[in-house]
Amino acid sequence: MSYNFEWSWNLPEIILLGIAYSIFIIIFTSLYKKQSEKPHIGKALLISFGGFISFSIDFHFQEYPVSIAVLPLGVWFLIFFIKRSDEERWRIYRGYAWLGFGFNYVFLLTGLLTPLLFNLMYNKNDPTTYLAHTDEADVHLSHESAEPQILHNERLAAELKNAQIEEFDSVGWHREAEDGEEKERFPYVLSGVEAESGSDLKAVTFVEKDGKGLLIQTQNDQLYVRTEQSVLEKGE
Amino acid sequence: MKKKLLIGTLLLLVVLLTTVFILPFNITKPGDPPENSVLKKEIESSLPVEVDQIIDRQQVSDNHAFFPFITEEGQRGMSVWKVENRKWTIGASDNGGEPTLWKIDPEDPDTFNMIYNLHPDDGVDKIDFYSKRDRNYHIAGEYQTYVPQIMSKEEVDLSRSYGVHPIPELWKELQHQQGALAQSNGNGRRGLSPINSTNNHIQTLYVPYDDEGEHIRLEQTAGDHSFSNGEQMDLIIWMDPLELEEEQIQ
Repeated sequence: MSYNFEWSWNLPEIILLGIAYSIFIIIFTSLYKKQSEKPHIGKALLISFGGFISFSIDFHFQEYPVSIAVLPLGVWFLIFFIKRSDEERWRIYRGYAWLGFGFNYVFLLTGLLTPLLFNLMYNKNDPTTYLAHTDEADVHLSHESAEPQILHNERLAAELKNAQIEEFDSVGWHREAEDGEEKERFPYVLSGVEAESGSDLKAVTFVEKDGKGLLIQTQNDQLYVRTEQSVLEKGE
Repeated sequence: MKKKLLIGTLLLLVVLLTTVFILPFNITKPGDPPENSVLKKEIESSLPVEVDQIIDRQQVSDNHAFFPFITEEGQRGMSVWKVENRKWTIGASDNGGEPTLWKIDPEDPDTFNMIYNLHPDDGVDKIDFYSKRDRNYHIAGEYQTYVPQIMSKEEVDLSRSYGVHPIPELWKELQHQQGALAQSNGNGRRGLSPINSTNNHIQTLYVPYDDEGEHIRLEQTAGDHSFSNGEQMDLIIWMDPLELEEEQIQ
């Protein structure tokens, strides 16, 4: 399987990670201030990163990957190497190592909170979440059985506000087209549509041949929307 | 003081090494592809053919070029070349000229090209290329999914019997859109829905026509040997005209 190194972040995740790192900085500095015998600050940071290393169990919460740290491998490693050679030094650095390990659980918490915050900020069942910015949108013929048409951008934006999500019969649609009774039901595809800012949601939207239906394929769901008026018009 | 000196020297060394080794790769252009005689020799060593003539030299980018050729026996063939380690090297070759999808970077549809070199005896007047995704449906509990068929046409006029064409913008867009759906994002949703798994595959097909507009097959153009030096060359499949009729196209 190929993997693309394309970073994509959504806003809820950035917010929670920001909080997590702030917590780290606060605990770290308060730890540092309390100590009468100050360690080297760069080394203390390194020890924290080392302490973060752990044996953990990965699982998915609402399709979001989280992991529970079980064994503090990094801390053990540091104990083995530092404590054995210099007990006094270990006493100074110990707190930072465990702070690092403890951070596994802060990340666990943010991992669990991300989908919850996400659902508070964005409604995944609302078509306008996926079709939030349609000014740059365009329609293309994706099936040659239909005629090329152009997109009525303002009407699309207006119709989306009152659009109704409808039930549909996927088997029926599939059968009528495969039997040749009907032409492909969705012969148009939209481009240049953006989901709500910060959501990082992706969708592919097909337009029904009468121009009054939108089939929005999201990453793990499909929404079918009917509009009052056609969002397509004949080109000049 | 000693420490600073050491760090300073190390830094200087790193900068020097980067300039010496990395910069030339980015600054000097690889230049023109090799002479036809060099191409011939390389193609002949990759295939059991004698090359009679390189018909044309078409550079696709600074680093990629397409060479249609004719063999001593009159077969039509194709070779693609790429720049590797600043040197032009053979990427792939074929002793047939059937339409092929040359994926310069298989991860990036923007680099896909359709290439062909048709034999005149096949009498091809026009080729329609199609990008196709199968129609499908899924039902999982209360969730329903309908996968519309994609059947997008690109007509290619054959004023010349060979060519290299980047895939149309719409095909790129369609592939990018599907790719974005399949990819996991910061929301952690990695293709758990059936839509992302198997039936999402976009194929490229072609339909050749003679000068009377009749569907034909490419008999003489077909080759039987191909060679690849790491370039991804996907066969573009001949489409049964019946399929167009069934889909009420035309």
